[in-house]
Amino acid sequence: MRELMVRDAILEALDEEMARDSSVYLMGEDIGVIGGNFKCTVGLKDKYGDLRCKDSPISEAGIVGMGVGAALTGMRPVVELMFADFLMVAADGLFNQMAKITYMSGGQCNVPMVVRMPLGGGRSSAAQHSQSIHAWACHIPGVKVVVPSTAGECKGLLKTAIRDNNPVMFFEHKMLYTTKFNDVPDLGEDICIPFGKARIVTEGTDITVVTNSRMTIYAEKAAENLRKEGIKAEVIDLRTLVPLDTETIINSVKKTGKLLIVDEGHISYGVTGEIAARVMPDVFYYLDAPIERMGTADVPLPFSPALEFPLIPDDKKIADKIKAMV
Amino acid sequence: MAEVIIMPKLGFNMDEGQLVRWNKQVGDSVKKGEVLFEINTDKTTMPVEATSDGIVLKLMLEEGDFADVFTPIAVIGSAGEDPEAALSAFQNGEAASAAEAAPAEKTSAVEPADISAATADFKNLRLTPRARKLIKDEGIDPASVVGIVGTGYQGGICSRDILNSSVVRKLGESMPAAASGVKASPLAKKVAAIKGVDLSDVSGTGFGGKIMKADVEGAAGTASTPGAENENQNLQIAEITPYKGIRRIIGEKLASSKFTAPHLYFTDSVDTTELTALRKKLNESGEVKIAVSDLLTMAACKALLKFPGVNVSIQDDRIITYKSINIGTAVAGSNGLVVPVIKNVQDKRLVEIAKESRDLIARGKEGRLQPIEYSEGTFTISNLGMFGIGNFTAIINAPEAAILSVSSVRKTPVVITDENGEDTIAIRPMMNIQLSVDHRVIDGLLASQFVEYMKELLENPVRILL
Amino acid sequence: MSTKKATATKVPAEGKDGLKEQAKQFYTTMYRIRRFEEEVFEFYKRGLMPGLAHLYLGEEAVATGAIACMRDDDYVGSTHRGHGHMVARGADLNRMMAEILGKKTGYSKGKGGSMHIMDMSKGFLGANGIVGGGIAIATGAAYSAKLRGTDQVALSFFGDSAANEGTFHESLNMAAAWDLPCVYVIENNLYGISVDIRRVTREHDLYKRAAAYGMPGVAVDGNDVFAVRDVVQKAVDDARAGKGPTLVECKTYRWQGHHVGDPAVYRDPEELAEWKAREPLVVLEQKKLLTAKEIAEIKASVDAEIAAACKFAEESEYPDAAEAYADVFVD
Repeated sequence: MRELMVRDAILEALDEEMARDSSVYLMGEDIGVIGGNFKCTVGLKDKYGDLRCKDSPISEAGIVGMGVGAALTGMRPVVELMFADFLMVAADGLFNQMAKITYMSGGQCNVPMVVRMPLGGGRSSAAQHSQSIHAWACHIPGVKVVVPSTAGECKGLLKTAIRDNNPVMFFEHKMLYTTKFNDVPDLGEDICIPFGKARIVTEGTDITVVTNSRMTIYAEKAAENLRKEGIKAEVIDLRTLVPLDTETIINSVKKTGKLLIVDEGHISYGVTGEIAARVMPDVFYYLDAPIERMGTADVPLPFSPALEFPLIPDDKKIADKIKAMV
Repeated sequence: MAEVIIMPKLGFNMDEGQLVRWNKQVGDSVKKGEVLFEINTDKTTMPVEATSDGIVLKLMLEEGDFADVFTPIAVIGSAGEDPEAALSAFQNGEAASAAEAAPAEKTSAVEPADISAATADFKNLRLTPRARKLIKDEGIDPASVVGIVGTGYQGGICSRDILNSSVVRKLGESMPAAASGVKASPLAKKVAAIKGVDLSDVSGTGFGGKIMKADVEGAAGTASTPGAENENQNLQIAEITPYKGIRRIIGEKLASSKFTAPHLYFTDSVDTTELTALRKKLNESGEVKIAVSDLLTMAACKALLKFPGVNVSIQDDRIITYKSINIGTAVAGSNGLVVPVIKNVQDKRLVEIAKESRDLIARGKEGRLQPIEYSEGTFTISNLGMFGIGNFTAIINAPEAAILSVSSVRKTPVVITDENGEDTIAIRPMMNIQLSVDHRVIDGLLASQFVEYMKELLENPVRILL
Repeated sequence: MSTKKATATKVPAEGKDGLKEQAKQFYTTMYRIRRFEEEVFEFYKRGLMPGLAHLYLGEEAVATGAIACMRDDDYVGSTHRGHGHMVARGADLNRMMAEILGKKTGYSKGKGGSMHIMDMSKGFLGANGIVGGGIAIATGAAYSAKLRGTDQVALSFFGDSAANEGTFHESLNMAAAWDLPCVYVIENNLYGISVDIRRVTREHDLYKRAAAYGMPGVAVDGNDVFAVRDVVQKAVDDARAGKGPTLVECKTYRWQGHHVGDPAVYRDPEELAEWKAREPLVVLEQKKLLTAKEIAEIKASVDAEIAAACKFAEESEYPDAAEAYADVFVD
């Protein structure tokens, strides 16, 4: 294992896949000359040329739509949206075209395309650059949705995403790009993490905490702190929301009797409510408390840290919630 | 819909029953009125009839197992029906039926004053789904969780509360005692059968004292090596039999009585000359043979009418004085001690008592009494007269408050007053009687008066018949 | 780069015999589209076609002339009004009609219908229910060809209204910037559903927008199949030669409303009559390249094809309900 920053793990995944498969190409705003707003594509333009690491104009709808066309005709585009917030600008390409063409064609074609984009708050980026709107993607059939956590996870899942023959929306967390994790496989190891198989981060018997993306890091920290108080929380990193590994959640809740779901998206009509409803038929008689959930409050993300931080779950809030539940 | 068969409550004090045998097996068809199974209650073996026609879908007890009253033990329905559906429907409706049954019974699991209210409240308990599952899976009496203080969501009872409660401790401690029946995992039962281990001798380490495979193997390692035990020449064992069944039920009842009621004893000797003469006279003329015990019963009735303070029982926080004089007679039955009761002795003639008593005792010895026939006693006589004992002390048959022990008649030199008013020693057929009373409700004076009156009646037996 | 309005039909390059043969092919294709759409309309009126369909009647020369310029390995992006493009691309009429009727034998097993009709085997990237949705997809196919180093060309059809969508601007801008092998063909039939283009756009000549992107822009009589063919051929040749994209505006007219259920009350009947008087088949007939007998033979042959397609579609079974759950993802 090696210690790497998340952004470097992503860069490695892209590099390795571009080297492995000439049909893989990148397109996005500022990804070429400067190597990306979050520095995930540094050096790739020089290595693979302008066409395969294309600095695009500010045309999200265009580059996503073009990705669909290229994917239909033999390429494996990896399109980068600078912020997940911008997926709304490209929504037709993502959700009416990319997600549905395979189905509308009756299976005549497929769209092996990855759309990478950072989500999440915590950077004082205010309402249009801080959202966690991965649930939007989950709501549309035909898209696989990845919400990775650590550097090793990002690399392994991105490699799987690029090799998947279906559209994948890959939500990285902007606050983790420069965080180091000592879980990246050694160079030369071609490790792909399969979709639909959650990772049990910490084992425990008192409560199940299901989470993803940066919230996994917070939940792990909360669980670690609570262990000193004798509370054993089991933390599950979902990795992918579509497909969703309900089996791992269900088995864990059968053991613990309690379920807390933490996701950075707005609390209403989102990931947390969906998971609660999805597992309820299987865990009802095992529950010792109502399923609870944590997410970002239902207000646009404000600019000032004094306003923003209190709205988003963190390790302390998760720990408090766990304590209240067990 | 399939019918769920429950362990019936065949007696006033019956909390659980032991299955003696199934007369039908899974898949057998059964007609209404046919005997479906037999159970040991605290006093006897009872056949239980099917109440509807159908196919036996499921049997939930092994022969020899115990089950709390009102808990499911079998399911009867149509071929192909799912017994689990009927069971889960039964579980859902159980709270209601438990509430209906509650007023008639007095269980000791919870505070008496709260019982009926508490059982009725079962439905309203905040039980988490997991707690409900635990109750169902582990066969916990729903009523027994009523008193548990919940620490879960909004003060509800969660699985942890049940696991930490006395409900489970009780199950665990008394396992595999008769009080809760033998609970064993299917694998443990299998291993026990192979190794010939009696599960009632095994302490369970599983949930609620459930016997697990390892427990059986552990027990097999010790119990199944009688040779090892016999190596101790100072303590050689002839036989080991399980302390269980009716022996254990009676034993625990007696222990409970002895440890709960402070016993006081009052003894006197009775000259039985007149009693014997009267009995002889009665038996010469009458068609019905009168036994000494019948005259004892009549005499006790008379004494109880005179001293109603002895015809009482303590139940929870009340002292009940009975109008009915229901006298039980202790009988050594085939399965152990049994006490058939003659009801409302005060309204009956001697012949009636004699007839009834002969029938009850005969059937009691065979273990064929109906529960009602050994229930609802208010006073007991234990007569060992025929066995040659000089004197003995009896333990009160709770919840009654007194028991009269009657020993053998022996020729004894006694000081009497002759016709000249002089004290003289004469040889008389003397019989010891002893009254054991529960001092919580019967004081020494009352007990003395009762015993002296009994003596007076028995020595002047014509007064018994007046 | 020049932006120019095409003038009269130039003398075709085929020579006399070749010309006649080309005319036969054009007439056959246009008549095939005509008859196909008429039968779709009939199915709709008989209650046998679920939903709606956007008919290509009156615009047959655009699809026919433009697609005649394409190689088999090229790509064609289409619109909600896509039947004509797909027929011109040589698709299987049976499977097309079956799809439009929602049958299991259709191109998409009944999942796409008229508005999403697609034939990947012919590089036909699909009709598209979103106005402007197909423009970026066709541009992506052009990018793909360039990445792979082939000389394939992508042809993108869209209407006058799509030219006001954002994807039009984004796609043409990128295609021009990067010299993508893409030809953009506006089928300007004057109406976006009910709204006359002249009421929502100051500059009615849409080909002039090409200048803003730095690519050639050409307008052509969209009812003259040869004229369309000539203009598009030049654009395709340029694209294939790496000279970048061209914007071609074909001025044409749709006979029916926006779709089969639209009576088109917003139009002046006289306007329709004028356009019908010089509809594509008439324009071609007036070139006197085909005899009445030849035309009659073409019609008889096509009528039989269309009748067979209708029979096939009508007799085909509907898909099993379980089919709805397939094809969301591929392995």
